[in-house]
Amino acid sequence: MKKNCLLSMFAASVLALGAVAIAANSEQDKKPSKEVKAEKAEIGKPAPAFTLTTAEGKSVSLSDFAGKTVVLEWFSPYCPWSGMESDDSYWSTGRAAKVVSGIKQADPDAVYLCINSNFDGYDGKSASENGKDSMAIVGSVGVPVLLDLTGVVGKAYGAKSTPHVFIVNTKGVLAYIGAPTTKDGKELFAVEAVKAIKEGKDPKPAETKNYGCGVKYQKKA
Amino acid sequence: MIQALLVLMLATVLPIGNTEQVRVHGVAWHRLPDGRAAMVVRFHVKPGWHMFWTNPGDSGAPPEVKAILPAGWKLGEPIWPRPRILDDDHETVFVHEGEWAWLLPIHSDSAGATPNFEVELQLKWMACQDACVVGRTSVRVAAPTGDLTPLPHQMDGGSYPTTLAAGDSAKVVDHVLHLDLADTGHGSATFLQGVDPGVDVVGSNPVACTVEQGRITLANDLRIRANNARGKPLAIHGLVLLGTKISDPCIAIRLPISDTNDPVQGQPSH
Repeated sequence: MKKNCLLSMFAASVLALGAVAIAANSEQDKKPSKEVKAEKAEIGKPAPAFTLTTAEGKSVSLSDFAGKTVVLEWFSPYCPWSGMESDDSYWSTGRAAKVVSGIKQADPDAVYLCINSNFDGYDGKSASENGKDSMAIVGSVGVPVLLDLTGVVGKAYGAKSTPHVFIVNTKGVLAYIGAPTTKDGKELFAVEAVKAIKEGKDPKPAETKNYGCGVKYQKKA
Repeated sequence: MIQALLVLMLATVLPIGNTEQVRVHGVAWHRLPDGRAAMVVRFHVKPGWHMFWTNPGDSGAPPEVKAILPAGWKLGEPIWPRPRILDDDHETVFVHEGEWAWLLPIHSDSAGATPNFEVELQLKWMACQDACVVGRTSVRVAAPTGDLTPLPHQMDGGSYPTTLAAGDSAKVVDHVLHLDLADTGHGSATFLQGVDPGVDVVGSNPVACTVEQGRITLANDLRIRANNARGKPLAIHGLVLLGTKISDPCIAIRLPISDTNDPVQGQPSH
């Protein structure tokens, strides 16, 4: 019931927005035999618009943050590089908290959002369990988790791994794509990118190699 | 013969690290064609699971190693066998499955020197099926005794990169990667790029080469962004994969890129 409710809210939001990229992907979803791999979102081009629902049921749109820098982190509570507890986990090792805090210092207006594109039923988890498991990890840092159960938003951005970070500048343009940090956490790419944007510069690097588990999009039968 | 057997027996690693999905089940010393000594780490990956090549592709992470070596000795860049390309609805990844071996060359200031010490290797890997795991182990590799045996051309069915043959060429001119190699009759060829910060082949990776009239050729645009290189010298490297099987030959390509014009400020001239 809750799952249906979330899906309905999501569908209604997408229709209301009329976001071109998202609508295009929705069409693809209706025609599985014609599915093609998502094109990568590109640096210097407008970030695909979206509206998703948080794990707590609140509707969130990219347009809600117009004029602000927005950091989107693809996240999974079941990936040892992302949310699952491990020596390499971006979240359980405290690297994510360090990045979120560094971003807030660099730009107090910047927004950090996690997006979970695990399909409903991945790893035997319902959408509700997936949302709860996600919030149990990132909620304490005050970061919302947006559920992208159909993977439409993930595919529109070309999100491939968890973690995978996309940073949208104050003009709504993609300014950084890649890993949030080096694997050892010594270089905080996302923080440096937000600092550069705050100073009116292009991030250097603007792209880094992502790593981690593949995003668990629903596979076609 | 007895000496070679002794080398293999004494170089066997103790203890072996195991996880449910990946087992390190042996390390042997070999001599590489360039004269360096190399530890060959043998992995067994559980059926259905895979580990990752140096460029994992859309997701994943390659294995990592730290070696505790005596002063004067250094660990070289690992040498990877030809990977398998896994392509599904959503991603393309470059992987190693089943039994595979990873070559870890070491070298000292004295060319051709044979190591006479024990080495500790700290290994870390990622393995995936639908889910992913990260494993670690620390293994001690006994010093070899006697002469090192040459590296076989294939191990566990996978081929190891060779170098360009006489008459073959690879170069980057005006932001275009050019390959021109003799066709050795494998029917198809692709160029698979490794991870090169600031340099990417335009289009999908791997890139199909043209095979006709006895030659394998490629002229593929490169997207060069010096700002993304994080201060490292610009270069492109990868493998020319002949044929489609992991046992088919592959040729290593590594080219520095001296043109550091950053296309963020000025697009390539071609």
